[in-house]
Amino acid sequence: MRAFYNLHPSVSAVYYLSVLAVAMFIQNPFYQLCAVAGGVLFLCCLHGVFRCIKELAFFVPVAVLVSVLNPFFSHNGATPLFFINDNAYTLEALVCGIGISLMLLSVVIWFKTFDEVFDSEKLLFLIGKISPKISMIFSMTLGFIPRLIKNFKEILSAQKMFCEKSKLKLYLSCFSAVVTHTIENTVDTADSMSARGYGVRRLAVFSRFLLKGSDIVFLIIVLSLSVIICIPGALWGTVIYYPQIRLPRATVWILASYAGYFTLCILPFCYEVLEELKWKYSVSKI
Amino acid sequence: MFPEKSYGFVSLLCAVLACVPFFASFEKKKTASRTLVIISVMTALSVGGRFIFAPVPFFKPVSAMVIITALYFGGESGFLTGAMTAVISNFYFGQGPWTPFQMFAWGMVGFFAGVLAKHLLKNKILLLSYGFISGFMYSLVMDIWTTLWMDGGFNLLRFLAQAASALPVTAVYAVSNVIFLLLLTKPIGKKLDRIKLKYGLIPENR
Repeated sequence: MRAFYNLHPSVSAVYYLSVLAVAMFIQNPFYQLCAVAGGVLFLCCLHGVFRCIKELAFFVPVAVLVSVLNPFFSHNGATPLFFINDNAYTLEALVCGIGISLMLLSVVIWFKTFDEVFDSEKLLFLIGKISPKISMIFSMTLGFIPRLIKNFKEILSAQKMFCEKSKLKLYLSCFSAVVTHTIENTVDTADSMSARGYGVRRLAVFSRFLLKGSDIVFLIIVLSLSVIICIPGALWGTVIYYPQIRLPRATVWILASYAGYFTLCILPFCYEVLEELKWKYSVSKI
Repeated sequence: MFPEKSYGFVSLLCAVLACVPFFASFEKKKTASRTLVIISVMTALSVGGRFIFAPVPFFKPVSAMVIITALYFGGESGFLTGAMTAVISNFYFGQGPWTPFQMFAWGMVGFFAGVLAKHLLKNKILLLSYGFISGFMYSLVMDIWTTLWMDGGFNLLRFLAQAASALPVTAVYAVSNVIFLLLLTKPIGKKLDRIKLKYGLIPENR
């Protein structure tokens, strides 16, 4: 399922910015819970349920550990559960720890999907719009790396045959050889760039991305949801943990913000499912 | 707009904004194609180093390559190499909210190495201690940010716990910086000097 992947890079960048900004910076477990739920659903779409569970199997215990250990780091809070060495292990700190670990979990999960959706080509496109020169360096570097590693492997396999060196020394001398080789070739690359007219005009960036109708619809949905979420969320949405837990007052605005964020988080999942259904439908008509 | 405890957000914003002037000034001025290519090659070498030395645990030449680049091509090239290394290597190791901080931290390691290049090249002990200290500072910056972000404020206890749990890795990292600087600066420096002489490659921002 690659529906979300095919969105225009700037649309998905705006989407990720709004999801992550809220998940990372508004301290309120409701938001983080929404983010975790939406992120897990989306990750299941991308990686399949089995692989998704396997990946979470590492992070969930870490999150539990973070929340259980949090009261050892902060002894604030009005409701002590028990004492260790005269230090209170408080309910508030535990709840705060759960909030923190949910935040970490949501960020980890969303960045896992980010790695899948946002490949280097998309980032290149976005950088290229702002700074063509940086994006040029970027793309050249991405080209150099695999060549360099291939080169290194060749040199290493030759050196291994007749060199009696320690591992570190062997690797170092091969690395040094690779450095020589690449740097020498580099100047040719640069000269050929100049010969083809680099620097005559401003760099242009090639891209295969087109802003389609569905992109614009998606962008409008994301932006309007962000407004609904962020304004009440940033003003009143924060949960205060110390000295006593105080939830934000459940006004209409705050509830709208929660609902909006939940919608925002499950948006990619819904989009994937919708496209899948459309596909199944059109296949069944044949 | 900002709730009281938004240190995480503000510091992330600062890290991003701190990188902007470097990129902007680089973008604005005319750069020779050779400088452009050299920066990308050095970045590729430092990212590739992470893979190449994968069988040798913990020893990664990344910072050393950034420092060497800065020594021979100036602070700006050093900053760019460091920052680009962070972004690009995270394509292989996973992006995250730490990416801007890694960009900033590695970029600064390169920038200051470039600023101090004259002294660092003359005095080997100074160079090695720069590598050692920059290794520690790098981890420290990352730990400070994690603390700020997780607690919404600076919690000394958590910071100490984090720094302590990261200490073995940090120490190995700092030591590997020293080892790589010790072993690589001379041979690679010689090559870079030769290239500069052979092709008249004198960066304007030295």
